[in-house]
Amino acid sequence: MWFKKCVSIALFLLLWEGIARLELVPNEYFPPVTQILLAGWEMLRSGELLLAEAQTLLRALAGGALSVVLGLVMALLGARYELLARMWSPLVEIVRSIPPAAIVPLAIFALGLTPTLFIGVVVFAGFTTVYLPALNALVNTEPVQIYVARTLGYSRLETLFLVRLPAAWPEIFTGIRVTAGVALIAAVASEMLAGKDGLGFLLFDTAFSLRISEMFAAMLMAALNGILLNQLVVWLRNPFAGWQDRLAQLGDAR
Amino acid sequence: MNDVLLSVENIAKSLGSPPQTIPIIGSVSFAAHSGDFISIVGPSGCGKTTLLMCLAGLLKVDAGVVRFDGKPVDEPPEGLSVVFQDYSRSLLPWKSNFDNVLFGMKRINDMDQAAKRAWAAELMVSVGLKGFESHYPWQVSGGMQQRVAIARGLAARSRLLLLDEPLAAVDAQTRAEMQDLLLELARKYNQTCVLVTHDVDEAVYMANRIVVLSKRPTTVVVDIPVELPKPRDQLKTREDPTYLSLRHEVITLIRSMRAAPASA
Repeated sequence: MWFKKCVSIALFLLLWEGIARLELVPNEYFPPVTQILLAGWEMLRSGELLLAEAQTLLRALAGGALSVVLGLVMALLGARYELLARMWSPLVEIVRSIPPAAIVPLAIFALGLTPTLFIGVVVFAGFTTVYLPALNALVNTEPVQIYVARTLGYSRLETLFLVRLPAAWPEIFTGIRVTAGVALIAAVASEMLAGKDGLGFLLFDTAFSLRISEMFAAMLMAALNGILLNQLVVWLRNPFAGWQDRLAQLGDAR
Repeated sequence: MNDVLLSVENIAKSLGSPPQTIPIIGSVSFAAHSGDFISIVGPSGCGKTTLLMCLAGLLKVDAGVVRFDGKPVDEPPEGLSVVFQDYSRSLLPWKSNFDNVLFGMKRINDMDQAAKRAWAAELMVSVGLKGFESHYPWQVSGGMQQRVAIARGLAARSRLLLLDEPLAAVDAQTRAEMQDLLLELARKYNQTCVLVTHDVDEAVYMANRIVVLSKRPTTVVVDIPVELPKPRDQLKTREDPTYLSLRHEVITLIRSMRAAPASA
């Protein structure tokens, strides 16, 4: 499996290198892979790339974590008190419809050019993709499981945390995975619009000073962030929702 | 052993919201004495599940009263456990079989964790699942899952077991085994049982009384004592003339209700 993946990537890079070397595309926009790697290596050595990478990753992580907490708390409250969920659902719908970048100008005024700005934009963009699936899963628990908990003497609050929440983890983690992606987009976009550092800023800065190889290197780094965050979610998911995968595998085997 | 544990007094229940309420239970009365094994049968769609939900305190009755141990039931009372038909949904798939049984001990306050684990281990042996404690419900067969659910019900130190077609979804051979297991467990742990079932043979085989229900809105058609010797035996009991005549009587009754002009 791994071998096949490596082969396809290697073939793609080789094709790129060939096309760029033969100048089938304008060289100033599509430098050969080797040149990009060289530029990336230089940026790594100077520390420029790693610093930007760390800044963006931290912003996405902090904002993503806050999104998860906010989304989950809202979903738990909404599941326990239906009135609350109905009250704020129009607001959530509006927030969900605003593109993350559109909130940046307001955030600059409201939060200032501080780290809070980036984290604020990430949370704004990211909490709905946790909240909505979480609420949906929490209110759609298997009725029989609720009956069982009630007849055994569990209170509504205990049922929420001991039955409905564990049953909802698989769906919640699907939402968290989406939020991880959104968090990276929002972090990079807000750095482009309002940053003086981070990968988003580096991408703009290198592109507009026509350091195209360096821009590609920053892009690769951004891709690495996506992979890292995704792996983190997969790793966190296992203790909460791993049972669902093992159950599904068994179903496939039968 | 002859005090009334569960008494159902003229209960009625409709479902649905006001403009279109559907009367499900017309008027149902019966009583279960300690040690009884009562089978409830009736034509399809006769509101058996609704009745069971009312008995368990999961649905409020519109009229009449359900008393458990003398006290009116409006919330699920302590000492009453339900075993549902759909074992694959009633068990918690993120917990092992053993932890599912432990989950049943919520109301048990006079045991520490070690005592609870010992009690759960004993129950696992009693239902024949020794060696499957750390398996997950979805890793064992349907019959075994239902055994876990029964153990979980007993774990609450129930005195009354409400059984909602618990064996409807298992194969015939497993069903016979499980019937004998249920009878043995009921005796061993002093359980009074109310079994809702579609299967008249099962109803007669298990019970010392059969309550036959009508179509909706449900009433009690007849309440018949089952005079069969105990312990029951899959071969001898089922060949007993009393068994055969009771079976004949109940099936004839249900068939006559089905033949009548049906709304369902």
